[in-house]
Amino acid sequence: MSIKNTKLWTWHVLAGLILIFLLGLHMLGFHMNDVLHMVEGDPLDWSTVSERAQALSQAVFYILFLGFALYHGLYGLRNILLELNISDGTAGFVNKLLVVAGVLLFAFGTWAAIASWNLAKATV
Amino acid sequence: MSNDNGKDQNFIFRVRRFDPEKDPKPYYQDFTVPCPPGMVVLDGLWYIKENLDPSLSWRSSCRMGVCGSCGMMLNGKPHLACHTQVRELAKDILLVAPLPNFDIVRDLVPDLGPMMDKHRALNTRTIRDDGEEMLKPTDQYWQDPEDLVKYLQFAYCIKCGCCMAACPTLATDERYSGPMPLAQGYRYLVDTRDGAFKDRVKQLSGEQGPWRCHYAGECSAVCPKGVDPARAIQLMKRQLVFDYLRLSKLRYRKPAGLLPQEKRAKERREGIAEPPEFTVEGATSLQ
Ligand code: SF4
Ligand code: SF4
Ligand code: FES
Repeated sequence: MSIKNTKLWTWHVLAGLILIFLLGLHMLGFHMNDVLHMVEGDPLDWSTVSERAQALSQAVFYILFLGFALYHGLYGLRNILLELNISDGTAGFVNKLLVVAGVLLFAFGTWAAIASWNLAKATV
Repeated sequence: MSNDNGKDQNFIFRVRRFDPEKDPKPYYQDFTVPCPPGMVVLDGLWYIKENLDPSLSWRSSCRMGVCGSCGMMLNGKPHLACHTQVRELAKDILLVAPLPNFDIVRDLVPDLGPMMDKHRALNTRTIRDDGEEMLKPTDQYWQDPEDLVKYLQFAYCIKCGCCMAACPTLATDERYSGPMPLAQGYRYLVDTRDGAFKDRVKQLSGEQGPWRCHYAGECSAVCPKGVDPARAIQLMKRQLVFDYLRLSKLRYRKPAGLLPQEKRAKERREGIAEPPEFTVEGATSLQ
């Protein structure tokens, strides 16, 4: 016997909390800047966007956001699929499929975040 | 609202019938039952059996909401038949059907066996290393009143199955343990006299655990004993998460020992009568 479901659930909850925090930072910085003035100038202005894109912290932020959002979302999707009263064999297949999909999407998103960071630096 | 004018009032009991040996499928049959104020549904069923159709089948025993055998659907919701007044529930027609999410043995008799199997599978009993003391107890195990309160509400369960009938998750996923077994699983998880916390945690982390629960709370809404299994399931999840993060003390707890000397009453309080002598030769009891 394993502690599999406890582990998956705990990380689902933690990922949810981390997403609220990261999304909070995003909302405060980009969409509520008029009120809180966390970013210098207009956060959606081209010059601010391009400057931000050159920061490594921005790429790391998006990679973390992607990782936690993928985990949280795919775990939820898994729960919905397992509730369709599928057989144990199909449930195993669903688990594997979601892990592979998650890893591929994370790899693609990470590549995109790093590539846009490199691109932003190169266009300075 | 009760319609209590002090006189008998005729109600139609629309009862779902099914005899698997005779009937290709279930059907409804109407019975007219004169109901005086305060009459419970179980009395109405007895009236039908004694006066209208002796073949009507259901399960009941205590007639006082204790044995848990008379759970059934009354006007679409799970209730105890012995604990539900006809006039409180119905205007003129009362729909009576067996609990869903169970196979039907006959008429209003659900097969509670699979529920009890799931209950047993979660080791819902005290497990300890001191087997000799368990088999031949010499005294009581000591438990603080605060520790008792942690599970007392869940120990009120009478295994009637009403919560299982109301659970939407169980309706689509028969592998789900369901509210009653899980609430009882939690009851033993936090009982300080139990010594199997680590094993229980491992087992509950598997598919038998609380993971499919949506926390819709239907189980708690229908429980006739106020057990609140949905709460037990959420507390269980919290306990499992805290244990996984090594933030729970229960993992390190030693099961409660026998009542310590200093907790014993020094003197018998005044006014409490002595127990009677045994009247059967060789009979014994704990002091
Ligand atoms: S939790 Fe309540 S509804 Fe469920 S079996 Fe126990 S007493 Fe019945
Ligand atoms: S709270 Fe959980 S156990 Fe209770 S009815 Fe809902 S899904 Fe079933
Ligand atoms: S007959 Fe015992 S609970 Fe209803």
